[in-house]
Amino acid sequence: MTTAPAGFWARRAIIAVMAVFVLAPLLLIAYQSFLTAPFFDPKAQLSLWAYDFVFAEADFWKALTTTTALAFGMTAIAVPLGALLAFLLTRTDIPARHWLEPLLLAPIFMSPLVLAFGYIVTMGPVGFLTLWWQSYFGEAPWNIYSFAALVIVAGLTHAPHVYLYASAALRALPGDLEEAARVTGASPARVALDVSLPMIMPALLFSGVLILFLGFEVFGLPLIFGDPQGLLVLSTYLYKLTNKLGVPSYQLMAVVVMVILVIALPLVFVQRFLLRTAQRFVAVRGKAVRTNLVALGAWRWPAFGLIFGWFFVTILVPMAGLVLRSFVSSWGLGITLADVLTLDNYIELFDDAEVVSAIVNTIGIAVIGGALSIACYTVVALAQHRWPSAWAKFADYLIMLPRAMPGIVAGLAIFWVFLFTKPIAGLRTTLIAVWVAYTLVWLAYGMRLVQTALLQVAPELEEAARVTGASVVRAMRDVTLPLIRHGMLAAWLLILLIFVREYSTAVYLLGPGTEVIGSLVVSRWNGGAVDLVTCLSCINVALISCGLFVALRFGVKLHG
Amino acid sequence: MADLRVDNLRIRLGGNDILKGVSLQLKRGEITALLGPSGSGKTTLLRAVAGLEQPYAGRIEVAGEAVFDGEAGVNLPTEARGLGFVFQSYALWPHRTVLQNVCYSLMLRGVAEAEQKSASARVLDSLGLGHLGHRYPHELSGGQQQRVAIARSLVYEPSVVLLDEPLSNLDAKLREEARAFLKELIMRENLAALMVTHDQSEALAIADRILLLNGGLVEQQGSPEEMYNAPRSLFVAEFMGSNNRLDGQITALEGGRAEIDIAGTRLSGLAHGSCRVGQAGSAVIRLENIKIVDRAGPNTLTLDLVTSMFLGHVWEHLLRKDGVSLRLHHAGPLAGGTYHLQLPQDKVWIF
Repeated sequence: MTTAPAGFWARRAIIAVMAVFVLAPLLLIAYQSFLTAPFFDPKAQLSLWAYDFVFAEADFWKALTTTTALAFGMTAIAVPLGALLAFLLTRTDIPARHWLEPLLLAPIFMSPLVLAFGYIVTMGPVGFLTLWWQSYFGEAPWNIYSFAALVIVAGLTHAPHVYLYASAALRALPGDLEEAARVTGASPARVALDVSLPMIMPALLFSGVLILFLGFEVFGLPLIFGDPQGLLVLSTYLYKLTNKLGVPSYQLMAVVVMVILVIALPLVFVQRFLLRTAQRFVAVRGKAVRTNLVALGAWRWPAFGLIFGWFFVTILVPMAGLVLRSFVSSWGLGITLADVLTLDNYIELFDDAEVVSAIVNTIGIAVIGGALSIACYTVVALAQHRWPSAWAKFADYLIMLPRAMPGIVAGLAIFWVFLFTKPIAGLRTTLIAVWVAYTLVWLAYGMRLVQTALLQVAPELEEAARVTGASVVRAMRDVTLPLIRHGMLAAWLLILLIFVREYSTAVYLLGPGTEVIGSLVVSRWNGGAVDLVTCLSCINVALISCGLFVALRFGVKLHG
Repeated sequence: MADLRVDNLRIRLGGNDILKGVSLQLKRGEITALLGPSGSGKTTLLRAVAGLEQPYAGRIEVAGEAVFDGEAGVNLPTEARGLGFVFQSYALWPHRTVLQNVCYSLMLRGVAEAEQKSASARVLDSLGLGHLGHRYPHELSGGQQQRVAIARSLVYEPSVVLLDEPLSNLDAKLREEARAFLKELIMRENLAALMVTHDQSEALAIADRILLLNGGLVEQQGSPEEMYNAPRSLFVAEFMGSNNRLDGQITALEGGRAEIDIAGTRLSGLAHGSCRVGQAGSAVIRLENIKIVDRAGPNTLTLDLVTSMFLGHVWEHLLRKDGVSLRLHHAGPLAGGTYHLQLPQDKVWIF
């Protein structure tokens, strides 16, 4: 008699539910893009009208060109810079290596939107630094509202992503490979160029594609920097399109989303492929403890200066400005700082019910929502876990799909799904909709965190439970789950940080009851409430710092 | 009646045929060693018996009941097969104490808690681990961990226990002790044991029966003595023991005897397998069967001493001349020079 293995149907059911969850928004977008009107409009007909309309728009092509230029420009800055930072920090005797690294990784957990605000209040036309500069040297040599500034800031803030992968690859590089080159007569510089660089090439290639991909989905920086002079990228073009025709122009938005997906999807799968090759390159060899660092000699302090300079421009300048701006009542030409210093901004903040609920919601969605998301990711990961079947492979590809949706797109898609599906329409104006969107956007990331933890459980530990008489589900409960407890805690803390930081995903879902800090500052910035926005941004950064502190106390590694 | 019976089992993994029709039988109180080079499918066979790999054809019976039958569509999940399994890495659950590791299977079977404890303590005691029940696996030595793994697989009294290279994680000294301990335990508990090993001396020492796998097929099976003293193929002869292999041309074949020409010297020995006059063949002789004699005669080779190694209980010498080289075991050291080596006719196997 044949007995179906325990969990036979459960696994299929879980993956099927995930498939619906992932595919429904995408299919709805595709469907909407072929309609002549919003999907809820009874007059809507199938046609290519929306495509014709968007492709005839000069603004669309301009946004596409700008996006492409931005993506390539920031990649050209971030990759060499990130690789150089990684080399200096992992391979040389640069001073203060140990406390430089956390600083380098900080921008990954900072909201780009917050940094953008910081740049505006510091280096904008009437920013602190700009006015200070003018009072001593005359006209400031920078213009923050320019494409060049956008590319440079995007490049600088994305360098840590490259650093992450490049430094991991450099650390995994066994020292004897380089030592072998030294012994045969190569100088340290030659070794770096002839051995180290080629060995980390797969990692650099991967991070290059990653940055390119991130370039196509940046939203916060171009929204803040580009808007005043009408500089649009695809994501901000999409945002502006919301009210293009006076009526909700969903069909046009859907077309723009389709364009973004067509660009992003291949990049996602290229990344997946490259990551595998990169890991194969690294994983073949065991870990070797590095004993010899390259002596920089006279270059030690200039190298330190380079890293500090990057940190100064990328973090310190915008953050200092942001904090300062949140403590002044007003700022502009001819105002003396001492006269306007105040705590009122923060005090008034708490009179605004919407702001208070945004803070509460943000913490709630990060702490509780994050835990629920990790629970969902774990269920899916366990369903796939050591299950050699076509279903598990299919799930693997499904997980990648939402990655191709920038947050703003996913938020929009979830908004539509709730609007489209009558039985759950009521949830659209609750935090549940926001949570669903967050969980979808970070599916690939969260799944990877959980899967990494799962992979560390040796298969024979589970098999041992099976042979002693435990069913698949029982073995997972009694052996697998207890063993990945720490990994899940780490995953939860990381997801929590990311949910606090998130801003673009909730933009379309913003309404009474669904406000979070990220989406609220976007809408208030548009309304010109600089005091409030800088205060909320500081609170956001403070929350992230707290989370980061807790995560580090628990020994969470900030990178897989 | 056999307690474990495998019939014509076939497994394909990732497009490769790993097992191409393997059969075996195993009775209580008997240890069968699965021996073979890496990639021969021995671990896959063991895991398939436990239900951890999926065969596509064949039949597996435990205590007379089919747990897998490709034709009848029977495929019991691992947990329903009731077998004991000792993993190579021991696979002790790091989040459970020794006692909890051992108790777990009893808990799954709904045994009352007091009884779980007493049964586990009994097994742990019999393995000399009685005092370690409250410890965690990482607090134990390698030898102790191995015993816990054994205790865990025996506590629910399976009739068949499967062991995947159970000794390979122990250091050389401990391994010999554990080998004797394991053999005694299996006899005492009257178990049917199937054990994977890649070490032929371990298989010879511990097993009642050896199954030598090669490329997914059983090359030969039999008692350790048969396997060692009467190999039926060149592969078996070379796999068991330490051997010399001399390649040449077969010149005569008569009544179970063959003659082979090795670089101009004729050697005669026992003919095996498919050797035919005029064809290339190989002569195999174990290191310990070569004798140093005073003068050249039939079945002797005259070679120069190249180097010597002291192995403890015996010396190993390497001799060579004109491209023919032999290694041999000898009680004492040899001075440099030329020696006559006799290869006794009934100790030379010609394939």
